[in-house]
Order: sequence, then C-alpha cells, then structure tokens
Amino acid sequence: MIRFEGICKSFGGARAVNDVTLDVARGSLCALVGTSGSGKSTLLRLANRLLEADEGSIRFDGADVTNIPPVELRRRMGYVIQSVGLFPHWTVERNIATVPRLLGWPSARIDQRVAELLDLVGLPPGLHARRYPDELSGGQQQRVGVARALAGEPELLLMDEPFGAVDPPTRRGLQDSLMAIQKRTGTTILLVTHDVEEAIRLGGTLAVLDQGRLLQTGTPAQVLAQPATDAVARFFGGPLLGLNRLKALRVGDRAHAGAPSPGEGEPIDAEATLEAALARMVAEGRSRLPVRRLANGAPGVLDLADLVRP
Amino acid sequence: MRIPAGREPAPALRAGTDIDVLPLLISALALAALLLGGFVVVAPNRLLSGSPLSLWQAAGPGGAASLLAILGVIALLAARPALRLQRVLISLAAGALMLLSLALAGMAASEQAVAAGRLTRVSLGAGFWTLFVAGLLLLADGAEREPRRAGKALPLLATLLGLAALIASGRLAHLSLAREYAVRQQAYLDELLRHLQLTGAGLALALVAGGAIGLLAYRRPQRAGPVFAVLNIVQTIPSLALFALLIGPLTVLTGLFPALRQLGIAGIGPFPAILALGLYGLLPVARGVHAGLSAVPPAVVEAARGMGMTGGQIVRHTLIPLALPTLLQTLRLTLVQLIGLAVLAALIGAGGLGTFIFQGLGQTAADLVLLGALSAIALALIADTALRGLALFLLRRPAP
Repeated sequence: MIRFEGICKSFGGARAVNDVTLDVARGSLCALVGTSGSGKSTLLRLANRLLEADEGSIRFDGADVTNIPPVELRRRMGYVIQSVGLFPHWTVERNIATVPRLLGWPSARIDQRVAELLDLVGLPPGLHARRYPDELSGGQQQRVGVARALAGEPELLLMDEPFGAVDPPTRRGLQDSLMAIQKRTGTTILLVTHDVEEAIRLGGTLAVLDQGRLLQTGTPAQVLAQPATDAVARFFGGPLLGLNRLKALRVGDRAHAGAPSPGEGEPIDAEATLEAALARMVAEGRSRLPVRRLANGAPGVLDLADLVRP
Repeated sequence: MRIPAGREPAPALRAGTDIDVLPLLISALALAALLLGGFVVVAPNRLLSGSPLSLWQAAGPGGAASLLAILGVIALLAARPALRLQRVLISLAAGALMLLSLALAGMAASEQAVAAGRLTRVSLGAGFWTLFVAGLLLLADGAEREPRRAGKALPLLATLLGLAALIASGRLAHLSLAREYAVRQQAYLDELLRHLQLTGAGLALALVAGGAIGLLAYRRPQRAGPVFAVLNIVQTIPSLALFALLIGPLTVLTGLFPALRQLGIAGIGPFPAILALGLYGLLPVARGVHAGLSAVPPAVVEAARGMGMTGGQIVRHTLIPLALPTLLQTLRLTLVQLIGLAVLAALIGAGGLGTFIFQGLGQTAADLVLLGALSAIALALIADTALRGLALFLLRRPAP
C-alpha cells in the first residue's frame, strides 16, 4: 500500500530519519515504535507530505507521492493525532463530514456515511451527532477523531500516538474498537506509538526505529523472540522482555492436545494471550489450564512448562 | 479519619438572593445631585454665563415629583432580586428617567423663551447631566448583565425610539444645544458625514495594514517581537503630536513630487488625518489579529492540514471562525478609539465633529463645544452597541 525507500530527512543538520526502507502491505496494521526522537512521527508526516523527504521516495498505491498534489493525497489518507484536533465550533456530525464535504459528496451520502461511522466507532448517532466536541469525554472525542479520519473512505489511515492522551481502560477500549474497525473495513493502518503494550496488542507488524534508523521489522512474536539489536531489546523491556513476549503470544500458539481432567478450573480461550494465562495460573495456584478449543477444534491443555518452551 | 465538612456560605452571599447594590447607588447619587445642583442654567444670551435653576423651579412640582418617583421605582426594583424581569424593568425605568429629564429640560427652555425673550439661552445643568448619565449607566449595566438577548435589546431600542420621538416633537427645540444645531444644520450634517468618512477610511487603512502585520506575526513568530516593538513606539506618540508630525514630511514630499497633490496628498487636510488615524489603529488591529489567530489551538490547524484542507480552506473554516470573538472585539475597540481620535482631525483642517468643538472653544460658546463632543460620544456609543450586538448574533452557537 505504501512503500518508503531510502528515506532521509534532516532538521537543521540533525538527521531525524536516516535511510529508512519500509513496505506496509495492503490491509495490514503496521506500528512504528521507538522512543521519543526516534523519527517515527517524522516518518508518518512524510507519508502525507506534511513534511517532504530530503532523499528517497515514497510510493503510495504504486505512485510516487511527489506526483500527487498534497491536498489530494491527504484526502486519500485518514489522519489522527494525539491531541485529536476536533473543530470546536462544529458539531460531531459536521466534524466527521469534513473530508466528504471537501470531496464534494452529495449530502444524502454524507449523512448516511456519518451515521455509519458513528455506529462503527461505538457512538450512538442519536445521542452524539448534534453535540459539540467540548461536551464529550476525551475517549469519545478520540472516537470522533477516528470516525472523522475514516469518513472519506481512505485507502490508508495514519495515526500519530492516537490513544496517548486517554486513561488506560479507555485506551484499551479504543484499541479494541480500532482492531474491530480494521477487521470490518480492511483499511491499511500505519500507527505511531511509544507504548510497548499498545504496539504488541495492535501491531500486525512492528517497525522499530531508533535515532532515525529502522532497526527491525516483523510480527510482535518475531521481534520479541529475536530482538535484532540491544536497542530493540531495551525498548521492549530489557530484563523484562520475556514478560512482554507473553503478551505477543496466544494460548493457541503453545497449548497442546490433551483431555482436561476435572477440577482444572474454567477453560481458557485459545485467543487469550499467554500473559493472561500466566496471570490465571498465578492467581488460581495451578500449573495447568484447560483450553476451550484449539485450531483443529479439539480441546487442549496449557502447562506452565509450555510458556517457557523455546 | 473523618474529613471536616466545608462550611456553607452565608445565606446573604448566595448568588441571586442579595439586593442589587449598583442601581441603588446610582439612583441615590442622582437624587443627591438633583437636590444640590442646578437642573438647567439660564443665561441672558449665548456668550454670557448664566445662573442655575433647581429642578423644582425649572420643572415645577409635578415634573420634580415624577422624576423622583422614577428614582423611587428603580430603588424598589433593585431591592426585589427575585423578580423575573427585574433587570429589564430597571433598564426601562432608566430609559424613562433619561427621556423625562430631557423633556422637562426642554419644556423649561420653552417657558424661558416665552418669558424672557429669544436671546435667552437655557443650557443643561449639572443636575440634568447627573440624572441623564445615571440613566445611561443603568441601561449599560442592564444590557451587560441581562442574560436574554431580547432583554438586552428591548430597553435600548425603546429609549432610542423615545429619544427620536422627543426630538421630532420639537419639545427640545428651545434648548441652547438645539439652537446651536439649528443655525448650522447643513454644516452639522456635512461635518458628521466627514467625521464618518475620516473614521471609516482610517479604520479601513488600519484593518488592511494591521491585519496583514498581525497575519505576518502569526506566520513568522520570530518576527513578531520587532514588529510589535515598532508599533508600540507609534502608539506612544501623543495623538495630537502624530497629527502635527505628519504635516512636515508630507509637505516636503509634495514639494518634491507635485504630482502627488493631484492624488489628494497634502500636509494638511483629510490625507494626513486618515494616515494618522490608520497609524493609530495599526497596533490594536495587528495585536488583535495576532492574538486571535494565536489562540486557535495548533492541533486544530494541524488536523485541518492533515485532512487535506487547502490554505484558503484552513483560513475560512478554522482560523477565522475560531479567532472571530477576538477579531470582533478588536474591530469594536479600534472603531470606538478612532471615532474619538477623529475629533482632532479638525485641527489640521480635515473637518469632522471636532470643528464645532474647536469653534466653540474659540467663541467660548460652551453649547457649541457640547454639540460636537456629544455627537462624537453618541457615535462611539452607537458603534460600540451595534458591534456588541453583531458579536452576540455571530457568536451564538446554533441550537442543535
């Protein structure tokens, strides 16, 4: 969907992005992760030409972005920022309708799209459409921000630390909604985050950046199993990296076939993370949990030893 | 551990339950001044100074009693905070106070004209002015604090209509002020128009140049400091000096390039006056535009850009609407300031309402001074009220 090739960008002599090559596949969710100043936000802002690259090229759906006028390019990409930036003088529905109106859609289609999106992000249209942003909670505002970014049916959604400013329970709710939305719409998402948990939960692919360089790409399980450099290992927890690895793996990845014996407690879902399984084992004082259903449909079990299997 | 409960506020301090002090105070002051000062001043002719007539002498027992009754009503209303239309009623009573004082003064002037002859001049005295200004203050206070828009506008409109009717009825025609106006009706209209033209042109200049400077300062924050430093210096030049300072350079300029005279450029007259007014408006406009734009959250502009708004759309859809409260306030303050300053334009031969003030000063004809000064004040008040109304209208949040 979007391909960065040999991208360099400097600000006043300091290299913010240094020779980055990255391919984001159509329909995937790629998380750009790294510490502050690693160049991840800069890379994102190069994608929709809020910044222009010094060297290298960016291809969006096969075309070089420098051949697409910035305004047109941005309307084809959704954009969500941490501070949301809803227009305070417009109602929720007017905010969501921003890009469709810029694109000149007929009003009936806009109304339908707004209602559809409010529903998609989990805000009942009847309750929220006519309200103003200052009448919403922070989490609701960001839901509107996501709906607004999706309104023009973008091919790519750019998100710059979208859930950084909300409290952890709200953040998890927003992350769940985002995953559900992606499943339903199939939109390609490029997301910037410095939150390790968020990256592992959301990222189909991780792209780890440090001091402007791309250090490693891969699925969360791959990156956490074999961090390419010390910097990657440090970012994902240093000595606690192993615990974060449990977040990246599912029960189904490690459980084995076997008949649960009685008295082993509630079966756990194969989709649950190993972290959740470990938490239950610790809480319930067991070293084995029954698993509801493996990929082949058969019941299984998960032993404590399965967690540490290489 | 038990946390001690906070103390309840004393009942008298609770909002909405205490007596409204301001109207009481204003009407008490009006009453005091009325009993002490002269209501009107009667002079044998236009230039001699006169002797004061008390309200009782000027308006008779009936007139005096009705004015006192209105003051009493205002005091009573002020003591009834629970009344639903309290503020509107106080404002209406204040308007009635102004109109009745004016009518009584006008009637006194007519009586004197009949009794003492055409040369006699009846001017408005300290007692009248205290009453009139008290009414004006109460009206302004009511318009400021009344929450409903209709409640703000109604007393103002009623008073203005009453004033127009009073003037049209001819009851004020024997007041010295009206006679000063009557002998120079055409000149008055010309100078009033000239005053509006000077103010309008100066304001336009200030808006265009100041707006551009404010926009530049917003776009290039590192240049804002020096730009505002220069504008601050312009602002510190005394206003009269600025008018005078332009005479020299402009005269030299037109001496060097006589062709400029064809364009109306000269050391005296309207051109330097407009230039000076524009220079004075520059700082408030530039500052207002800069402050208004800077108050727009950067995240909103960033989001607008990221969603593919063009530069013009960002200005139209985000910057202007979000800066609008500050921009309207800037417009109002600058306009009121320039209406006042334009009085000085008469000193460099540009005309305007200042003409009457400086003529009156020269002739020691106080009522001629008053004619110019009152007109300028009225213009400023009308502009202020109109722009406040416009702001209320433009800034209302559309009902869902």
